[in-house]
Amino acid sequence: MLLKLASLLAIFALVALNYWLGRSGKMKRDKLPASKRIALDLIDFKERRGQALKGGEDYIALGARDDDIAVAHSMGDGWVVRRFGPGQFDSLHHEDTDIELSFGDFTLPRLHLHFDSEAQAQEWATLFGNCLKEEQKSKALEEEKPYGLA
Amino acid sequence: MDLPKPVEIATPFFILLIIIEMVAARMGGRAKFEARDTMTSLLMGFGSTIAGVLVGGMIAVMGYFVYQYRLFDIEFALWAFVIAFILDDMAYYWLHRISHRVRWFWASHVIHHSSQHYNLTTALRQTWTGFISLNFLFRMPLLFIGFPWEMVVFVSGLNLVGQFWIHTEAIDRFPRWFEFIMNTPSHHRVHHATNPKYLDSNYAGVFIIWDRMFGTFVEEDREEKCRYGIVRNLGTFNPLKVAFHEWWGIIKDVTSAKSLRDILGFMFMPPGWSPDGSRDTSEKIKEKWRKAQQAEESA
Repeated sequence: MLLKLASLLAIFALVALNYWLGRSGKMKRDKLPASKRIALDLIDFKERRGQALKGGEDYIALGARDDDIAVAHSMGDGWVVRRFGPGQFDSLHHEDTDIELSFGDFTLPRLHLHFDSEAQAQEWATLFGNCLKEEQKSKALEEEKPYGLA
Repeated sequence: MDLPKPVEIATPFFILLIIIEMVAARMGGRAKFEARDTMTSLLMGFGSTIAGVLVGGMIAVMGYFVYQYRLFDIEFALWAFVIAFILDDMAYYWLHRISHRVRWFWASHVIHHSSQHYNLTTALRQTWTGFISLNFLFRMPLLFIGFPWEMVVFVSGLNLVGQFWIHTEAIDRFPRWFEFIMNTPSHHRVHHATNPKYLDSNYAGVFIIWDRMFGTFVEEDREEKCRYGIVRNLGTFNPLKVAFHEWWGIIKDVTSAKSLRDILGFMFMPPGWSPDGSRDTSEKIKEKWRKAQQAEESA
């Protein structure tokens, strides 16, 4: 009984400490830059050019082809890397300096990317369009709204 | 025989050690914590305990059933505890190895690897679905040999306690003789790393000798810093998604499979397997890495 009580108290103390550390501490970002992380995680991905997004929170990179794109998405103090090819995006919405992508990933179903300028966002929306599902591409053309352009 | 419950006794000490590691990390130590990641690990540990309580009775019934057909009557003697502990650790090695090589088992075990951090809370990040994967089957041979149920439960509890402390970056290395026999933080860091060089290695629980014997041992390289997590890291801290993401993946793949062969492949082939080979298994990642290394050397 005493043991169970001690465990319970210790767990409460731990949760409280974790909460306090999370609130008060400044998060230490992964020392590896996002581009390096992409290179390490995706061995056969050859980055042609990359773009750090607003606030340095995310990083996108174009591979050997225009429909080969990698994203390093910041999560907590680290990166979550995803690689996209043709037909992988369910939808793409582009408005001003923002792009929203959705895809069939259970733990990361959509990405909101914030660019510094509209021109950058437009350029990358066109590139991301290469990775849209075929039916979405034709739908976008029918509506004369390339890639779900708002 | 009424034996103590090692995990229950150790729990307050686990928590105390985590608090010490957290405070040390805060003061600039080697360990690294992220509050949401830590909370997820704690919730996974809590859920795993609940799942254990829910299915524990059923596993005990199966255990007693197997024990009826035992080969020997083994008594509660010190030698029996020692042998049971060693055999249980070997059984754990094979369960663990299969958990990395067969997607059905991986769907449960992946939870333990889903953090990009490596600290003592990672040890608590345990599966909720081990019963579905049938992990308990690996302990049944001990009962069939004739080790009593209480003894098997006790030594497997000790094994779990023995694996807690190795989940840390705060300890570098032990003397060579110790590192040769025992699983240590250094060996287990390698196991949790996603660097191609380290994939599929160091499956040991308490004794690293199983990896040395069965050819899966890889030494930690000071030049190659471990990157923790899984090859496709999770984009969420949601414990429900963490617990079930690989099962969800299996369901998705199986429902879109075109043949029975594909269905079985998606369930029982290594993680990353696909009928057309378009996804990456750990072997494929290692192969790509080797080729990239060779190309770099020849350039």
